[in-house]
Amino acid sequence: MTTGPFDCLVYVDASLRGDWALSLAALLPAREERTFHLLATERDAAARPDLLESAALRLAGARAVRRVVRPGPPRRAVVAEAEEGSYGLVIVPPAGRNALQRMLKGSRVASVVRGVHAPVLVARRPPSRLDRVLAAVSGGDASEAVVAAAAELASGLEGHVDYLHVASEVALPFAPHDGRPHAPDEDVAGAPPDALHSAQAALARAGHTGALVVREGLVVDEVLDAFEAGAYDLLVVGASSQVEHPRLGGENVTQRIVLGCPGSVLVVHASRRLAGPAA
Amino acid sequence: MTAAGAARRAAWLLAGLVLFVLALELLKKGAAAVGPVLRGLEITGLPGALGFGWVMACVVLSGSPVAAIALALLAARELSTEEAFGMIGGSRLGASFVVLVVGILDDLRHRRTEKRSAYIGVAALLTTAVVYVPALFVGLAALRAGAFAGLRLEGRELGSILAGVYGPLVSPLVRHLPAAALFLAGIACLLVGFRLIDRALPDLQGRESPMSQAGRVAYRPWFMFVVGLGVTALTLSVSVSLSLLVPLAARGYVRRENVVPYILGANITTFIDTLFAGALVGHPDGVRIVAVLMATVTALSLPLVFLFPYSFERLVDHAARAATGSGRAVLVFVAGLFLVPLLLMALS
Repeated sequence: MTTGPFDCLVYVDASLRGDWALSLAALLPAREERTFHLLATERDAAARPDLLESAALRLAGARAVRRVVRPGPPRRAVVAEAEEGSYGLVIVPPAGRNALQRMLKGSRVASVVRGVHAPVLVARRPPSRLDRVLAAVSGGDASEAVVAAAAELASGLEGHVDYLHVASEVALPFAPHDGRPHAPDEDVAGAPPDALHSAQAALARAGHTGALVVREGLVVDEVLDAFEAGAYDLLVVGASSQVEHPRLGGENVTQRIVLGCPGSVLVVHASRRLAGPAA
Repeated sequence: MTAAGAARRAAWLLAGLVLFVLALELLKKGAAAVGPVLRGLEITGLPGALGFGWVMACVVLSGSPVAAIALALLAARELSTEEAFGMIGGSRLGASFVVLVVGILDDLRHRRTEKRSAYIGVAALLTTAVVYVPALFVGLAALRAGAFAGLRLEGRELGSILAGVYGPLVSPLVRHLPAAALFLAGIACLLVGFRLIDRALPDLQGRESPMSQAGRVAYRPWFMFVVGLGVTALTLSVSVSLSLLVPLAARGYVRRENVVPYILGANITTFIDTLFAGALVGHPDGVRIVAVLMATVTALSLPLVFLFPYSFERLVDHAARAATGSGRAVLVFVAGLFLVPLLLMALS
């Protein structure tokens, strides 16, 4: 069976976290137009023979539900299946490891975000509805994809989306500053465009004229604080090309946000849009 | 860099080092004039010396000359080993004041109410204080326990070499000038010497480096720590090292995620010139007290970089934002920066 942009891959296991992924999948808009591919590892399927059947019942009403069983640990199974198909969305719950376990074994969601080209929805205890969406717009190369994905989701869910930009940069003393705002594509002596203006431009290009909330501070802290303070149901963040091709000494901010967020997070890669019936 | 440019920089460096050593000799000879001043100000004990070094660094807008003066006073027996240790520690606490001053002026000039330049200076001062205050206590205990006893250098051989080289110049000055004038001449030589050494630094403007994206990309804390260590090992000064970020970071902005670990690294290698001065002043504890402080600062910085980098960044960021949130907040911070060491001096 081939897969397409309307197809969702959902990782399922018998744990409470596995249930989060199913619950979130069930909340997605236009279920009747989607095909869900339920993935379990051989080990989980052998331990709970009815695992995929009972999971399929949770998604009753979908256009189709396909069962997939793969060998290996969950992260390998998800990445292999996602890369063999061309899914529009991959839903995976975190493994629930603490910092020490992550240091020793690695992070499941981080591996999936790095290894999968499709948007990844990291499922955490979902609310009864996905009404409030927060989209973090950095102004980087994934900004347009983030804006588009957040807008598509919110429109399909009849929910509300807020856009957030965190201004992390501070002026260096001794430096000459012209104080003039620069256009996003303006080349200022080879310097990169201003991140805030790039974020605003990404919103404008997507046809959104709504307010972009700007916070000053450390990006990870401000995004997570805004998410909790606003009682949002879903966070949308971008994974820049650096996630796939990290630069020397570069920090993976997306990964830190995904691991630290108390709610569900949709990670959209640069230049890739969330594809689905809601679009 | 052309051969002529390299030769010019080498000449600046040589001249700077010659002046640096001459300054130490003059400070030692003129230190007798400082003793009554210190006694007049009733600066005794570790807290008093710490406060004195702190205020002096704020006044002369640099930490390294004050640390060198502390070593000269130690060599002249005007300060005890523990007092010199406190004064060197205090000099580091006020060393980044120049970054704050320039940042405040920069913010005023641009009427900036966000992304304030003063943030960098406050972050540098706070980061230094969080590490150095406990490091001073640990270092003092280590000194008393005889740590790095193997670094006690008698300095007689080196002293005779220096006397041979500088004697013909210093001896007539000692005969004809009062001690206070010698001391002031030493301070002037020290400041000019550091200025010349700064001029010997390679021009990093426009060069591609790992820091080129520091205004846009967040780097891992360990990476920025290593960059801070490396850049300051070359520049010897935290404030010069921070000012070097300007050409390195595109458009004069830096992401705040990159600031704190950079300063933590810079705060360690900034001691290299003080270590050099410790070896030259001819007091047995000259090198040892610097090495103890450098070791304790390193020991306390490493967990902040490798175990709790984000919590520490958050702590400094919150405090620095609060201190630069308004003009009044900046004023309160600056007032505190002077009041605390003055209080320490008053209590000594």
